[in-house]
Amino acid sequence: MIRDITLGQYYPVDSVLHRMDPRTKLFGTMVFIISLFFAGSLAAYGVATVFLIFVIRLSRVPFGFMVRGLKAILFLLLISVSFNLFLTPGTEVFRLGFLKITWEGLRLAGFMALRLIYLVIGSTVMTLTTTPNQLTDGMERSLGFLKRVRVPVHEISMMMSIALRFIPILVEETDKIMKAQMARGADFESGNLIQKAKNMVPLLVPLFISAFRRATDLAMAMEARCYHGGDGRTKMKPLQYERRDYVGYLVCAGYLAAVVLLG
Amino acid sequence: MSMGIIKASKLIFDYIRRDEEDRIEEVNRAIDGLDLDIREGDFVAVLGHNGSGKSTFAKQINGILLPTEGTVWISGMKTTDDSHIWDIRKTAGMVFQNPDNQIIGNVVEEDVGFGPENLGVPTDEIWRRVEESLQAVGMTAFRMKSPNKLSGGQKQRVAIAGVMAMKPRCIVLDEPTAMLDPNGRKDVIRTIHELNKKEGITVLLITHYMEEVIEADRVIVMDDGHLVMDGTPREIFSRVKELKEYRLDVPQVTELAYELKKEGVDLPDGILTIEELTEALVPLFREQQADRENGIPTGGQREHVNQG
Repeated sequence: MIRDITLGQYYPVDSVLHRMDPRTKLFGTMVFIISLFFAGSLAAYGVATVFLIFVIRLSRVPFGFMVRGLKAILFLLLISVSFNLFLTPGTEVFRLGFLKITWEGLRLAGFMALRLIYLVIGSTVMTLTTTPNQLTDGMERSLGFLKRVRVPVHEISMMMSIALRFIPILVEETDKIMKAQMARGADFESGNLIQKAKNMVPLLVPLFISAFRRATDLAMAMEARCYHGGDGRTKMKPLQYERRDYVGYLVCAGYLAAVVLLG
Repeated sequence: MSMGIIKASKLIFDYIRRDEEDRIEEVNRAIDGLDLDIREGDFVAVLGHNGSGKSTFAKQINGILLPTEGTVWISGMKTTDDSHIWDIRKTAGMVFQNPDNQIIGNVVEEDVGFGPENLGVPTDEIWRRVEESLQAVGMTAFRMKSPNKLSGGQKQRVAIAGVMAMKPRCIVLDEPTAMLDPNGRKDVIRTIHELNKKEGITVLLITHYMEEVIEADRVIVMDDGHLVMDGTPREIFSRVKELKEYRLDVPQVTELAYELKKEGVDLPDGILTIEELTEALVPLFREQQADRENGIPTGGQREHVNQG
């Protein structure tokens, strides 16, 4: 279940996409997400599909890894698709009691499904090809201007980087606690939604306690290694644009223009 | 000033628990009047039962905790002196028990670079240090891996590399092997010994595994916030009875030798390795065999041992 979230799971291979500057990739992801909201025709989605396939091939990450993240949004996907499917007025195609499906509904539901799926895959491509540290570095640099209005950009990016690092650890821990509680007769599967939520308590309490303990430990370890905020800090991997990044920006801009034009 | 790299004088530390109105609810004295001087380049092991104050002492060394009373100097700098705190943490690096909770980077090499980044070391120099540190702990082959994919022992070696990259003169390891399997434990201990011998780094190893202490230059035993024993491993382990009073186990071989000696076998004090015990036992055994062949009846005490 939650094991399937691939967000924050860097896949280490050497590809153009891996070597690209995180700022370029952030920009690219943003462009891709925006483009999905502009797209309203088959042609536009076609372009988006081609672009996505191109990027996935470029990343050299096995396709299976991209799709894994989808399981987590399956529920959301089902809800939004069925809402669109049944509640859009228009030419009727099929009717079962009070439920009716319209052409417009089909079209909208299809686009909505594609949009969500592409959204997840698109951002997964970025997190699979960018180490969280690079990612937060990229954000820190791109959002550096916010420092002037006293937004703690460095601190936020450090927090995100740490959160990303601990996701797999906490997921593993959840699994362990779940098994331990199941061995003592806890039941996470049966009952209705409220029952299920209630049954989560013996899972969440130990998880939270452990997370706090880890946080204390980590804070101490960071201080022991002389961490004292962003001031006076140097970078092991300073961000520097290369030729491939300029090409990347151009490709992204071209893609966005194509989608917007095709509507 | 003839002062060791780590020096503590009349050190007292209280854990103070306060209630919501900031009134003192409970005071727990973790360290009670500790005097200690550690020479640069030594491999010092600190032993102690749970709650003996050994971890608290470790945290005093790089200023994570500050003394309630008394003073701690790290290469002449007082830990209470705010202006030196980063120099102190740079001089005395620290490795903690839980390997997962001290790795910050998502890739091994980025984690090793975290310390030097904080110190403001120039980029080229960071790479050089990361390279050297990974080499020193034998983790170069894993530099691009995610820490989550490593075993406990490997993670702990990455943590050591992370400290090494800050070019410390002293490393404090707070039970670094407590959460590891026997193989990982061996790897980590070997790594620490190598750093101590090759790079001349002072090591303060806090542990409750007796086997890890045998090769140390000096062993310190703490109990209830006091320093109760101090000497070479051989000196310490020849005082088996005393160690047991402090609820510490001795290495298996030492224990066996101790029990044999109690039964009257003529063995030297403080046997630490299987080799030493064999060396001491074989002549005794030969002697006995020779006696038997010559028809001399063996002593009662020895026979007693043979039956056991």
